[in-house]
Amino acid sequence: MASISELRKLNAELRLVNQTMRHDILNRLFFIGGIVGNYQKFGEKSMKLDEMLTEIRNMVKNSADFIQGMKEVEIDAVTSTPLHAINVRQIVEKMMVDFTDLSITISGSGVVLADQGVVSVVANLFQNIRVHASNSDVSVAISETNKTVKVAIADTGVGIPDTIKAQLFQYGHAFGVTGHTGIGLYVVKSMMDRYKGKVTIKDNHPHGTIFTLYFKKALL
Amino acid sequence: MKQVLLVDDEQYIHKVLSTMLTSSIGCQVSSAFDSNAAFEYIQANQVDLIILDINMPNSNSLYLVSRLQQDEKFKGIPIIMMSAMSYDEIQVAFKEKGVKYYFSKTTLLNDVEKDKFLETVKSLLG
Repeated sequence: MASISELRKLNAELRLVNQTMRHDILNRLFFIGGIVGNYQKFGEKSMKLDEMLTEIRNMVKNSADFIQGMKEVEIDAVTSTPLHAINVRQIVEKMMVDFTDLSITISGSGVVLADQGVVSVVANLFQNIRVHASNSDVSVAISETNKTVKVAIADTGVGIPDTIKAQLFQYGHAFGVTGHTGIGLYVVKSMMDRYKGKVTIKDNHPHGTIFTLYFKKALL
Repeated sequence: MKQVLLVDDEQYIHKVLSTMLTSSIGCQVSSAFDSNAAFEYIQANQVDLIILDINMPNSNSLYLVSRLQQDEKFKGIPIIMMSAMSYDEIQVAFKEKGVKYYFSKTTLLNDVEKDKFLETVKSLLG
């Protein structure tokens, strides 16, 4: 029988899965409904038909992939399936298709101990760059040591003020008293905690930000 | 022309709402993608209405509300808050900050709710 602390941990993990999925899927559904509604009302003044269909198809595919990924995380949480080997370069390359507006280069490779939640980790970091450093170059450098795989995602945008860095990965007060931050980077930190890894943030030089993910290396 | 500032971290939300507002109301819509950028914009430009997402990474929407409420120059600017979350999840924050107008992003998929939203924008713009 699971202990109370184990049940609490499981509950927290499932809550995270639920919150992440609701937030991301609702936003995507809003976008799809919104552009269709605008097209019905304003015709091609709002968006070309081909462009709209492409946007919808991409968003649906993206959502389906996301739901599948989160489902696997949920199953892992409930069944306590051990983390398994994930080729992190393949995940990054897969996510690059959804972020073609970013100029992303990738170097190195590594196999980490994780699950499909890595998709959400990478997607949230790319989304963060899209929002705050959309015109910058993005480099993903993967390197490994005996026990660790390091994934450094660097942009050349305006950077993140130190006052914001301190609260960047918080979620708990987002809808409470202080109203801190959003959900995306909270998901990143929570996932990395789950993988017994960590995420750090520092300034890029001469400008920009570097998020570095430290995973346990999968021993093949 | 009336000026609306839309503050949301999702670019595609800007795309949808900008089209909706400019085509239906004829107002000018400007974009900011986080609270700091929004505050800088408000300091330098005329803004008649702010539509603000409550749930943005790297950003603190409610702090922006507080900064505006405490500033004589800006406290009269009406604010509509939006979120993909339900009102139940965020009502504590609204009550605390005294925010009067809230629309869930998903209710805007409903034509009746969308009309209510546009009517609210129109009335706040005067």
